Amino acid sequence: MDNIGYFRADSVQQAITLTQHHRSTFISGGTSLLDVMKDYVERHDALIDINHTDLDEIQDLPQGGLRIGTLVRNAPMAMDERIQSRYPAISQSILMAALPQIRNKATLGGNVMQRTRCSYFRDTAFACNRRQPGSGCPAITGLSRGHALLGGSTQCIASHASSLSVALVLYDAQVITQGPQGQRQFPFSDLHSQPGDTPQVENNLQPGEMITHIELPDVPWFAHASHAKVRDRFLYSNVQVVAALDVQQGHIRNARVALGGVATVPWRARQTEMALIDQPASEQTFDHAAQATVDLMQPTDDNRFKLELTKRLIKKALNDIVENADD
Amino acid sequence: MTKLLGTEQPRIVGPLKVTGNARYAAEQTLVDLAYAVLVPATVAKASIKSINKAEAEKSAGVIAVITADDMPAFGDLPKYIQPLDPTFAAQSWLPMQGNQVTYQGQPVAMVIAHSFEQATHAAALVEVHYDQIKEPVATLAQAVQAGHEAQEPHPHSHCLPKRWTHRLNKDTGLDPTDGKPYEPHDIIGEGADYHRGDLEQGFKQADKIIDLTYFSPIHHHNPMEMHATTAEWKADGTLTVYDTCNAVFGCQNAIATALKLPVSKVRVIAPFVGGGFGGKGRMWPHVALSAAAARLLNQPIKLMLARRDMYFMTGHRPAMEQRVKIGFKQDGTLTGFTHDTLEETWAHETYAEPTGAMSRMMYACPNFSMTHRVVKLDTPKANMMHAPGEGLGSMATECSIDEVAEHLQLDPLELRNRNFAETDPTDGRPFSSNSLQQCYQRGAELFNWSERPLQPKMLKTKEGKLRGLGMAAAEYPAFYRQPSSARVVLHEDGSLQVEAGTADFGTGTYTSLAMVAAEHMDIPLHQVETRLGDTVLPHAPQQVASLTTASVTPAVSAACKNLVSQLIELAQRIENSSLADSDPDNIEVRDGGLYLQNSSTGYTYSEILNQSGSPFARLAQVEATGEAAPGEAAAKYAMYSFGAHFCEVEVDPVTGVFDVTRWVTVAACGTIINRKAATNQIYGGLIWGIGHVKAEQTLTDPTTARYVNTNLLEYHLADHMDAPKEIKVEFLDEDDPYINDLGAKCVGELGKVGTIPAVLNAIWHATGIRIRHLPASIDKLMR
Repeated sequence: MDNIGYFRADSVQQAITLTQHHRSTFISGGTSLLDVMKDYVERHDALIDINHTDLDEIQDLPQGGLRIGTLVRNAPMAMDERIQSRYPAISQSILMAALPQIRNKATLGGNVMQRTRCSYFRDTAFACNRRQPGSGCPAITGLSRGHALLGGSTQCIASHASSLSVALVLYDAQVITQGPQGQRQFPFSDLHSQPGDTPQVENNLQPGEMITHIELPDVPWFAHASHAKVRDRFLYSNVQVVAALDVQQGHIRNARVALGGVATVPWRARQTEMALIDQPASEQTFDHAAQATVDLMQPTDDNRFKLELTKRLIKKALNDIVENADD
Repeated sequence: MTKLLGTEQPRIVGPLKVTGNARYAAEQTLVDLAYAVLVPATVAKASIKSINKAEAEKSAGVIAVITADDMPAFGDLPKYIQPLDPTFAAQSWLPMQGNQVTYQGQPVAMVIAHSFEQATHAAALVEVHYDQIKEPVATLAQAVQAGHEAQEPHPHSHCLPKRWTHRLNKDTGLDPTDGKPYEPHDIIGEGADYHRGDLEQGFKQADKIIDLTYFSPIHHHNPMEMHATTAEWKADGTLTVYDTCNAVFGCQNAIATALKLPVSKVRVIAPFVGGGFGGKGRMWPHVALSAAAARLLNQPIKLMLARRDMYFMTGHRPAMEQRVKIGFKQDGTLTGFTHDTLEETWAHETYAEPTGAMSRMMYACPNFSMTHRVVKLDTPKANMMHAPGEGLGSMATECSIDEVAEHLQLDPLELRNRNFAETDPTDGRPFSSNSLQQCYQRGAELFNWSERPLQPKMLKTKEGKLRGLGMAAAEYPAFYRQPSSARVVLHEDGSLQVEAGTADFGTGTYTSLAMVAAEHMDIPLHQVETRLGDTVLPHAPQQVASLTTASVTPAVSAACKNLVSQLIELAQRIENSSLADSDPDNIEVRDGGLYLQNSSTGYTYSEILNQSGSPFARLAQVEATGEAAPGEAAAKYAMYSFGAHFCEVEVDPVTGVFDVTRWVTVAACGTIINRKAATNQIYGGLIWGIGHVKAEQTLTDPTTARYVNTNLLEYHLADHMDAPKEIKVEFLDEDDPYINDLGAKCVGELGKVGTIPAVLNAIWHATGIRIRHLPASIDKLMR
């Protein structure tokens, strides 16, 4: 690991100022960042410790909804009663990922900013367009069981790693940032970038800009949500589906479906949602709706089985919501 | 006399381990210690054009950057490895002896610095430039593809595909990676091929023939303790090496050969080893490199491999293709049986495991053949790993038997009973003991096997999961027993030291040897201390092939007997000794002393030591050594431990995810020394076996021949979440009069053999799907 400078910021402004003077990045939990730094996948001259910037609260917004500080640790976030009752897919996505030790340490901001788990990306002996633009993508010609079927390009098919991000796009979260140019607010679904021709660009944050909060809107039917996930063994998703439905008398008024593990970014399955809205909540609707997203998928030989698996999990997630509503 | 043998005893070194006081190889601190980190090659097949050391040399704390130019020429290590002879190195071809690169991760330079962190960073700054980079042959499948043209029918094995049968290609150790199958020099000390009877006739007699191909991926040992070595040269020209190894004498030999030293000048110390599984049984190149660097720099050097390095530098279980063909009659009689294996190995040297060994001896089939072939790859060398041969071989043997039962509509347990081998089918020798059928019976009882429906897909859980029940047999050779010596030292306070240069990499040797000695001397277990893992101790075998208990405990017994004889003499020499005129045959060991039979006349050991010397030459301790080796019985009898596994799985047909929910193992391993340690060994083996079925595999990038998932995050080992909720392990009481004086056979690796097929057979019973390609990942089980 490179020798690194360490600076402790006591305010957001100080943290941003510090980044102007160093080739640096912010560190909070460090559970993911230090791994990639030890392997020289990410290199910095300095780390700006933002753990003392008081961004560790979950607050009720006056107009309803929640405002979650970037330093809120994953475990307390998952256990928060407001999140459990109003945004249950967030709790589930956290609790079904990683291990308790990691969840106690990792923060909201760090979780959504974690780098891809692509093995080629994480070993500098391999070429990787994301790590070293133009060097090539061995996953496309090599092993790609864990790689994306949605949102990939000829440059990169690495899948997005955060399960929590998937729940945040489901719930129309907003990102609040602070940077050298001041404050910004934008939809969470705009945070991450698909690789396209610039796989090295992973998000739309500017140098020195940091996520300070995530806001969740107040939408009552978001509570009717479910989470389905399959893992090869333990830690990272093979396929993750989160869904929320507004069903009135067997009729779907509104729908949200998002996918993880199969896409280069946290994926809102808009085609599936469109195929659900204004339809009866039936097996046939669910089948048709799931297929609408599966039709967009571009598999490799290694991950072709995820076409069928994704379809099954979307249907399972939707069925689970309807069954729970009946109880 | 207190009965210790067969009881459950916690590890006597447990407190040392949990308090951090058990010192492992990486924890040795020495004055003036420097740290070495290797620079691994990032190509598989090339020559090194140049190495730019400038940046690394400028880096903070760096003492030296060493390349092949600086390394001395190593002595010639023996080419062919006899697995049970630990004096051989893990690979004889040593890196940093020239500019040739022959596998990814091959060490090409070494950085020495004042701290581990400084050395690690500087190693990343070394720039290696390659030329003549060649396209490597990366996988078994690629090699088979490349060698597709190779021909010639095999004289014994009619089912062998043509591409496997290039019999003329005797392995030379310098063969090209041309995809041709080579006949390995040996398979764990035996010939690569074996046949008996008349196969053609056998298959002609059959009512039906099945012909099945199995595939298993590369596995890595991944012990918890990573490899580390610390080398220190003393002023007198002797070398001391603290190494992560379970074969101190073997390492001593290999280091001496590589560094061209007399064996007597090398001492290897390894009292604690954190898991080995076959990966720590012999000297790997980094040990020789460290010792050489320590001599070059005249400074003690510690080298610790990173987890990723271990995927390239310390061996793996080879990927294998196995083909089994069985001919059988309507009544279940097996008339013909062939088991052929193709394994991958490094272009430079061969390792091949005896995958067909279980098929050869398990069933009474008169017409049998097995072959083993290797293909050469540009990847690191394969080596032994936990139950080599039988471990993965049992998948082909026991799944195929299950399929025979399916064809016959017969209970697979009944089929096994019908083909039970009363004597070793290999050569007709009787077994020294064989309680396999009792294991079947007891296991079936404990598991309620009789309630299992014959047909698959009959059972469901209330959540709609598919439930299945499967079983498989297990065997492991006990004939690997090696000669051993041991020493016991009795102190005047009555405490006893047991010493043998074998190892305990978590198997419980410290405790089992202490139990044997405590039982012999009739003293409390806590008065016994065991010392292991040092070449200054009496010569004892490496910890490998589940042979430690069977080999070393007889030596401890012998040493205790010699000690008792000495003590009797001493007791009789005590002034006015109450035992002076007694016939030694009437003196017995009891309550930590020697007493006349049925009498309280006699002395405690402390009294004997205190009183038998003269006032000015008091005895502080008495010691005795003992030796034991397999005798004539080893040639007369076939020696194996046997067992049977029964398990239940639940498969989610929607997602393909399965769990093993219930497990019963019944084993017969002769005398059980420490029931707790033995049970734990079986737990470990079967849970690991479940992991092999679920997800464990090393993946190789097809273009660069570099392993891809080189960390524990992506190399999926079984853990507690994968373990069955209910596990029952039972050992049958079994008397083996021939294996050794205690009647102790082997336990450890028996826990792996048969576990993979037991799970796969249960998966079939749940789903109707036959998985013959590991791992049984979710995509294969979605229905």
